[in-house]
Amino acid sequence: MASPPPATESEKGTRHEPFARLLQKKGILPLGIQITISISFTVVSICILAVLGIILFNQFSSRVEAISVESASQLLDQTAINLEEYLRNMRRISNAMYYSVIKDTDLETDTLDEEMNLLYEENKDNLISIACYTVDGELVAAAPVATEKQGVDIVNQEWFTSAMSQMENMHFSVPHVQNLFDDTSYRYYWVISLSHTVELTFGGSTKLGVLLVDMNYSSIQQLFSKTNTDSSSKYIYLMDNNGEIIYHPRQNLIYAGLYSENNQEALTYDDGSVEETFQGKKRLVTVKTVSYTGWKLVSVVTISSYELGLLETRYFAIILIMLSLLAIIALNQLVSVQISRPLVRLNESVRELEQGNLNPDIYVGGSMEIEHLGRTLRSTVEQLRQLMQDILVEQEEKRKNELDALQSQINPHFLYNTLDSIVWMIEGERYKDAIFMITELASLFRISLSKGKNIIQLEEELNHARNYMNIQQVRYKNTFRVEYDIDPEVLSCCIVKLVIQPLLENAIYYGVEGMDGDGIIRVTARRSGEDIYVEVSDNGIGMPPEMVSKLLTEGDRTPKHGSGVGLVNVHKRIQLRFGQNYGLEIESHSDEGTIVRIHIPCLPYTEETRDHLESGKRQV
Amino acid sequence: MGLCLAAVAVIIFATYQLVNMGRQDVSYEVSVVVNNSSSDRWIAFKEGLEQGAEDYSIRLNVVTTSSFDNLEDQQAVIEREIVNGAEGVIVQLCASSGTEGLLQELTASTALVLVETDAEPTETYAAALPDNAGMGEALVQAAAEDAGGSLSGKTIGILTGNQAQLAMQQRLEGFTQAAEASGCQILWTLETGESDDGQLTEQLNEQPVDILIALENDETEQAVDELLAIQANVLLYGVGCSEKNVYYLDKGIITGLIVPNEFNMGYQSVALMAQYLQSRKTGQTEISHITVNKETMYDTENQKVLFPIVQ
Repeated sequence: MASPPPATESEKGTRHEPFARLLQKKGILPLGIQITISISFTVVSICILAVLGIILFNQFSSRVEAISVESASQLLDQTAINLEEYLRNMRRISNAMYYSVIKDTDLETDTLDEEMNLLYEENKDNLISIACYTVDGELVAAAPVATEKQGVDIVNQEWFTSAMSQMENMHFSVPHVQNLFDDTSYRYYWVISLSHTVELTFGGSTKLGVLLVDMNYSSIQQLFSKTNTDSSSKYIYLMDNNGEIIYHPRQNLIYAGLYSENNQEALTYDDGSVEETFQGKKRLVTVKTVSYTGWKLVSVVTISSYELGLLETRYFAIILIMLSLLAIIALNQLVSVQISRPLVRLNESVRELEQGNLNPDIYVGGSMEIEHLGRTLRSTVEQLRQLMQDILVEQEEKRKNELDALQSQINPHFLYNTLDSIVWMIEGERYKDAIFMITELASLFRISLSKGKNIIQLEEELNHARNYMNIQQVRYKNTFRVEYDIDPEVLSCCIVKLVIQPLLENAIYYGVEGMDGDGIIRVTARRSGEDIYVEVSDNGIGMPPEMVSKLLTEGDRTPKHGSGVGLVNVHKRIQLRFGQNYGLEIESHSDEGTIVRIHIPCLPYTEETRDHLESGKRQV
Repeated sequence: MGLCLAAVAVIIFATYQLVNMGRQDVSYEVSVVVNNSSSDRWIAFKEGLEQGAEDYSIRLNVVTTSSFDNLEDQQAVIEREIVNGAEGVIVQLCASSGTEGLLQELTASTALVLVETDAEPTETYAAALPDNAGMGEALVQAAAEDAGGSLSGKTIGILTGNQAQLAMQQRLEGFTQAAEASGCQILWTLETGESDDGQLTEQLNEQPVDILIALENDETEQAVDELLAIQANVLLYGVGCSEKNVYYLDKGIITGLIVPNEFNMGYQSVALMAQYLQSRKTGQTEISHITVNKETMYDTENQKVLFPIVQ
């Protein structure tokens, strides 16, 4: 089964991002400063916009309602003025007819026809007829001149009975079809009758009669039609003091039973505005009583009519608020970026520092406070860097001191042993051997000194080893053999001085000493890739694995033989110079022998490389 | 980002609502095709149409027509109106039988509302109709009341109107059934037309009757004219609503008149049309009628039907 390819670092970062957002959403991780500022500003802006919008809209609604009420009231007042003027005019006609004509006319000798016709002609736009009847219903005069219908019961007509019931008043009837005269053109007229009793003079004696002025109902219609342009939602109607509708823009519908009006309820209202609900509709009803007649003008405005206008305004307001919101979001984004950018950049500088870069480019900019933070951080980083440099120098110094201490541990032991051998040779009069020993010792010390350098060429180190082994072979009277297998390629490479000699010393003391000429110590040096391996092997008694594993770790054990520096010191010295990947490797088997392998990098010896390693830097 | 998208969505919604509010004022164009549209009998009907048109935002065109001789002429007028852009037609059919093809054709392309008379078969179409059979029965009742409660022994002649119309058939049927029950004798029935002046006079001379019944407005007018001419001693009861008929009712020439609420019929036909155009729903509305005579015609309620206020 194919396994998925390993994720790259960038991929890992991308995969972690949604997880980070999830944590942020759950409140586990804090939000970024830009998002926080943006969200805060936006929330505040939305709240302010919503509150402002609601307040303004409510104000607007109240104002519209107030204007509607005011407008309805004004319209009603104007209609009332017009209607009162019209009715006053009708009364004036009636009064003129009575006081100027009837009262001055003796009907036995004179007629009313001429004056009545004159009056009618003057006002015929608003009149259907003027007529005067005796108390018995007999026609005295009429204008325009017309044939009276036969068999009409005048005295029982509503206008007549009203006039006779309250003789001192003028009476206005509700609209009705005139039933007085014969019109051969088949026409019938809707009229409102104005009637009142009059005193008729017949030969000096008076007799009661009724003067009738039939107003043309269409004049009332025309008067109202100017105000009732949209009768569906806003209209004015007229009713008498009994709630009988005199005029309504939908009068035919009311007559046909297809529409109803809340006139009986409106009759109970006082003059002024009141809100009512009729047939499920909220309406604003304004009532005004017409003077003299007691009729009531009623203005009806359905609330939904101006709410419809408000609905349009509401949608406009919503669009404006949303556009403002978008603009505010954009502005918030801009402001939050402006505010947060210096902080984000400062944060990036800190992250760089966290990731181990001790020389980050600390951002200094933005507002005064952030700039101050940047400067302070930059100064702090500078101090930190200085501090760490000081610590590094101190550690380096300490390491050098340690190296020197380790180095100085070799010399006394070896010198003691060699001089001891030379003393023995001189005492045994083996002067040549002593000279040889001293010569080798001199060479060994020359290399040991190496002008104070710790890094030398491998060739010199091998010569040092040869000098040492030559001395030891003399000391041990060639009881063991030494073989060298050196790859010339490695001779010019760098090595820490005096690392082979301790191994040879161990090979002698723990390996081949006492083998009576069978002991072999083999020194090999070879290159493998970028590494060099220098091996010191012997065919001695070897060691058990437990001991091998302790050789490089137990640094404080007391050696049985030798300088006492031991393998641990060599191992540490190599690692100190070349790093933890290098050092000693030991293979050993009981009764088979031991191989101690020096593992160092293959670094060609140059002054620069040597100085570099000498300064304690492990990589070139 | 989500907030921005939400704001944009709200803006789109609000704009859509605003645009739609403007579209709500769309009005429909409707033609009205009735027999002899300039006749006085249509005054109240036209008032009703106009009120309905105002209430339902309909642009109305009452087509000027004369009397239709046949269905083909009427169909030609209707088709012309549709070609001219009428979205609906309110029709008083001049004949009710053989109209199936015409009506199917009309309903396929436009909205249709029938007035006064239904078509055969009677169903499916939106219609504002008077209770025609009921009006026939009302004629019998009016005559019976005037005759002291019974028509027993009375002879009757009937002007049947255009019997091609289902409405007239129903009125005749309604009258006949009620008359038979009242014990009167129907001596003759006569279907007159505009060109048949004098036919009624001849019939009355040949077979005088006590009561003359006219089932249709124009025939009532014609009966009035002929009765005035011959001064016959006949009680005339008719169906009608024209100013002339009302006038002669007032004069006593017509003894009793059955008056359908024509304003209502006009208004309801437009209401049905609007309902069909807006929601494709058909319906039928029955129009009421009143019975009036010389004494009752000025009663408050009766004069509201007899004398429509022309606004």
